Amino acid sequence: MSGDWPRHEFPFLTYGRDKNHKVKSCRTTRYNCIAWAAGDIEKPWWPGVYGFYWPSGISRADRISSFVEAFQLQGYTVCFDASLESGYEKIALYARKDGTPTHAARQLKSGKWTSKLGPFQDIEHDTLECVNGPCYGKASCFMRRPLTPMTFAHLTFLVFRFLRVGIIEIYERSWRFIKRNPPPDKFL
Amino acid sequence: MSTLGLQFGTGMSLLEALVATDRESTRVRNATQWAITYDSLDVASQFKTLRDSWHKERGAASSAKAIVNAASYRRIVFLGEAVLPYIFRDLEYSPEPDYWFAALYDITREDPVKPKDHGDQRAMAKAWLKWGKAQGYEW
Repeated sequence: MSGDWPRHEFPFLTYGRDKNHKVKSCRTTRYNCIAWAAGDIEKPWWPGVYGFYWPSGISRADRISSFVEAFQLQGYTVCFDASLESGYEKIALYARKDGTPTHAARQLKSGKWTSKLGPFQDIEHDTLECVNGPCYGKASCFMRRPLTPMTFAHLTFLVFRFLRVGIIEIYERSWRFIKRNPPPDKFL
Repeated sequence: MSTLGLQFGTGMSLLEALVATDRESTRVRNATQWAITYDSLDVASQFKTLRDSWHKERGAASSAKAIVNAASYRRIVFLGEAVLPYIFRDLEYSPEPDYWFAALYDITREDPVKPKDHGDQRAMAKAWLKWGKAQGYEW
């Protein structure tokens, strides 16, 4: 599986034999990078834009501090670096030079990172720098939370969510595939 | 003539002024032709052109602000109520609902989506399509 994002936006992603990333999903607009970092696959997250989810009670300004607050609600606290620490999972918030937040990535147990690239696919990338570039800037804030052992309740929640999202996705995609040809008397 | 008029006191030779005038008139002519061509397109063609250009413009941006503040997206919003059927059509027939909700809200200043569904793209698409039909839009 290969990604279909514009390659010039990620000059540090490599392809072919020396590739430093793997594509892990189909492209979707169902969720975005912030949601993916927060473990949500049902809603795109962004503050202050109609049509995007943002936790209530959190600042809706387009600033890194709003994202820090939102991730604090998920149990994360700000930390110093992106190194792999046993017993913790980390996220990195990306921003441009002017401080505009652009992206988030989540660390995997292997020490690699996972990112959702805009409306494109999720990828697993070797280092945080892989997605640096004109689009995302660079990682500028790191947060971590203790890894908790998986409880039965949490596992059940994940299984049900996976089934619910999967069933809805298959139903919607099939229905849209059937309806993919709009009536011929119109535009587009 | 205005460019020719500017040559006095600017140190510009007559030849340079003539070349500048010619460039100016070509630029104005091109811009006018473009504007006439663009304005003569119907809303459907304008929407399709702007939508494709928006997809290119937003690239892999994750920032919702960048997505909905892209120039092409704002121009779609600027087309106003006339563009609503085309947005509804895109929402209904695309493989996945695209990020049209900010444009719908900006154009209509309505919010038919239940608070619990905010952010859920499919639920929002359904609510907006239902609202569009109730308002008598056809697509």
